Amino acid sequence: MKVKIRSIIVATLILILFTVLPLASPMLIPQEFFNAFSIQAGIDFASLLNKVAMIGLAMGILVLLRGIVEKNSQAGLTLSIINKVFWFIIVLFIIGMGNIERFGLVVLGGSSGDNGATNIVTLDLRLIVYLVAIIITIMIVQSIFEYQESKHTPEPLNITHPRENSGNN
Amino acid sequence: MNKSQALKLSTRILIVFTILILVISLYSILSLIFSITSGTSNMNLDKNESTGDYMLSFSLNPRNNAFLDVSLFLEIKIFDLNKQVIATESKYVIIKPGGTQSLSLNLTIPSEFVPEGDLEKAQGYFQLTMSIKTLGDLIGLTQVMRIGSGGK
Repeated sequence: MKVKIRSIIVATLILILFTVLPLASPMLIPQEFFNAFSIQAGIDFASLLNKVAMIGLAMGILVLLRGIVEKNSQAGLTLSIINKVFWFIIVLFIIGMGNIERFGLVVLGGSSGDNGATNIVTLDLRLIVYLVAIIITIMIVQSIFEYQESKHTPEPLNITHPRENSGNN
Repeated sequence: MNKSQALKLSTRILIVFTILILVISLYSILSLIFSITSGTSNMNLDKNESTGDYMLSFSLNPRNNAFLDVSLFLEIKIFDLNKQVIATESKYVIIKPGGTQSLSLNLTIPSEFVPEGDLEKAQGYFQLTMSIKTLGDLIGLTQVMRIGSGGK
């Protein structure tokens, strides 16, 4: 089983940036900052960092696997489709500010204080999510076409001249 | 051009189109927010001495400096402690690119909800909803602010 060196390097970088750093950041950044950010923006910062770490881990594994399998194989096609779906999840994660399930509807803020003070900001970016979904679907179809085309491309033949054959006989 | 090349080209065109839509829409929304926050807005509270009712008026003059039509929905609601609506008023306007639209909301708070005719003693909630949408209301931002009075 051959693993491309480039894939190992990229996977390691992804793991450091998106898994190790987010998990280590609570130790590097003061707790007050996390608390203030969570209250002001209504985002659970610790949970957000855990999600980033999970995404980083999955991305690293995907990069490694893509380095192992052959591009024109069935496993390569499956991995390519998984990779595209995974990128769609990342887009949902970024647009939804950590909430994939909201599907492009960002909700920030919350309630605080005894006087029932509430401030909720909702950003509706569902159109962008639908467009990204169309793009990902087209990319998946494109991968399938490329796979089919690679299967239909004839393999280079080992042609020998007839005289060489007759000479051998 | 084969099928996969055609799909590749259409994907690239769609990506550029999506990024353009995102940037232009966000710019339109943010420029209107900036216009509202930096422009002139007035909020007045007057008392009708004969009836004892309070009149709340809110006006603003937003300008659309962006390239797309932007719709603005503004609503003010006043609730009592049981979350029953005492007074409400809303306006919806569409502002053309480069255009300005004046907006005013007038609410009447009945005297029976104001104990001893003193608004300071009244208990309830004030809620302001502002919704800014663009691109045929497909992309937008909604803000709901609610504050309570009288220690509630």
